[in-house]
Amino acid sequence: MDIGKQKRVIIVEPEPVDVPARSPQPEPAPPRRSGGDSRGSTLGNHHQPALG
Amino acid sequence: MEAASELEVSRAILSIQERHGEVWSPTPVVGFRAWSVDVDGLRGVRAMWTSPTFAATCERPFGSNTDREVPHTDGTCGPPPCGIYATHEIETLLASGLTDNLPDLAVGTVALSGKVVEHEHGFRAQIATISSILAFCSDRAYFTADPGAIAELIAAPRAIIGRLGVPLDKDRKDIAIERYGRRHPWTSESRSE
Repeated sequence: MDIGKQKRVIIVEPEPVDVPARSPQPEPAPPRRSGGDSRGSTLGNHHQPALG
Repeated sequence: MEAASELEVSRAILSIQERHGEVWSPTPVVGFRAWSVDVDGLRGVRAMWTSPTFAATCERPFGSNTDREVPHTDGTCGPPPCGIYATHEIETLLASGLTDNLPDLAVGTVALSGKVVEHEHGFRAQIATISSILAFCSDRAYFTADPGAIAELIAAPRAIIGRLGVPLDKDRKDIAIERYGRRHPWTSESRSE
């Protein structure tokens, strides 16, 4: 089969992987609820007494 | 390596690639091929395909013949030079006369990878994987682009076409053009250029 004159060379290869793979991010822990406060707090500082 | 040196090396590689007419692609190049449908595989011009992926070899009697060099571009093999041949367009393939006298015929798209030499009307590739196929046997036609179904077809083409194919209602070339022709969305999305 005649495919005509040669034009160029294409190197088909997946992108070289030289960057170390990132470890998967741990899933965020569910918000902790303070002992007796059923309303809880998602502000993160559970050592402060709930206001109000 | 420092960023500045990396940049210099990268520029040097690009410059060498351009000088040698070589470009890099992360995605396969798509071309068209034809085979003769046999009982236990698809027969190419030179070899039998018994799986969807085929790797080229060179039969030249002297010189180095490593996988990285095939298909050769230095004129030391052929004519015709080595490599898995595919055309840019289905029309070129059908007009070549290659498919005219085949009683049972298959045409399809191949994803070309490794070293791919682009010519005016087609390619010569180091590795080709069938990505879709339209196969004819007796008075039936069967098309699939599913990798598992392609592998099954290649293992027993006549049996699969006989079982899953639909009756032919027009000329094989017309069906191939309808499926793979220049204006069909199936191929226009996967064009390499």
